[in-house]
Amino acid sequence: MLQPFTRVARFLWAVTAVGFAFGALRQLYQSLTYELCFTTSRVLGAVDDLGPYRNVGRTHPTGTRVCLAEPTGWDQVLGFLEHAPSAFATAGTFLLLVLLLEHASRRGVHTVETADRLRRFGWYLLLALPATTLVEALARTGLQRRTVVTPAHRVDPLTEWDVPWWAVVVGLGLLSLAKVVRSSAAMREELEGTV
Amino acid sequence: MSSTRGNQVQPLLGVVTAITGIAVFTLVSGLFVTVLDALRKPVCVRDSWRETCIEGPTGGERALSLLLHTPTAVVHVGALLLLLVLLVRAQRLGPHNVHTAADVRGYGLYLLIALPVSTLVEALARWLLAPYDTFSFVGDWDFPWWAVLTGLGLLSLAKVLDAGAEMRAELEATV
Repeated sequence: MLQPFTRVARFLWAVTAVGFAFGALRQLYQSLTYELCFTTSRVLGAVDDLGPYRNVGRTHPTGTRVCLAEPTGWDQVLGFLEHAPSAFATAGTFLLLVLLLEHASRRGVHTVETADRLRRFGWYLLLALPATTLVEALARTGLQRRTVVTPAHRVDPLTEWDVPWWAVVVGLGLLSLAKVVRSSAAMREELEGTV
Repeated sequence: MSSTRGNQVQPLLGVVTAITGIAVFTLVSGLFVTVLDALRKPVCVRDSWRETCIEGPTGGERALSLLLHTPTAVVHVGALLLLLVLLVRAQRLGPHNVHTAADVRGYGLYLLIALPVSTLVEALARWLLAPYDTFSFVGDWDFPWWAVLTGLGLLSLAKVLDAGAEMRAELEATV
């Protein structure tokens, strides 16, 4: 019953887990080679506008890439927090999803325990994913403030915050679904009682 | 029974109603501004690599520039409206129902197909207006993974609801 979905979720869990591991290794390598780069959402019009940055980076159409030549330990921590949390949370999402689906296909969908797991997964999407992108926005803002010269070019954490709306809507949907499954679990027990 | 049915879709229905209201208003005003901009302003394209502006665009280029942002906006608002319809119907009929299962399946297919297609159309429009490279629109395609995953999840959910509907029919037959 859950088949095309379970296979896709398992595949994505494998891909994100491997990607996360590679990302961590890359981060480690970068911290050893003493270079730290990040991309702010602030778009600077021309190359001359890079003036406010002490360490000139490259402009992208969607933001500005800034590199720190000699990052301190604290910069490294911020650099890690700037992109690792959402990678971790995405891998966690697929792991939870695979565990949920495997449980449901083993024990049955219409059970109270599946409903509980669905509700917990819904809360995870609703809270954990927006929280991780907020942490990343705060870290990026912190890094940006350490590199920018003029206060006028400082960015606001809220404009850097990339709110994952789909996670909020899907999370709410799962909370509703948990209620539906709970009611169908009651229905199933009733049915088994009458048989 | 009917009161518990009302509660089942509740945290979601309220939020979706509010978001849909805001989204429809934003879409209508946004479309108005987009059409005005397409008629008067120079056409600017921002892809993954650079930003290009076409001075003195032709009528065809102006028409194509309408496809730079509108497809995903329309499809997103459509997704919200469909979700609203689905939730209202589910609230009235109850979730364990063949019609609700069919609605969920249709919604899953919509997310699975319409959202990737809309982002592909936008990538193609950017590529046609300012080609960066042969087939560079593939690299510029912002693929909506979440929509595909959620769509697949909804197809599975439709099967679960079908099973629930069967169970309910059985239960009603035995009573």
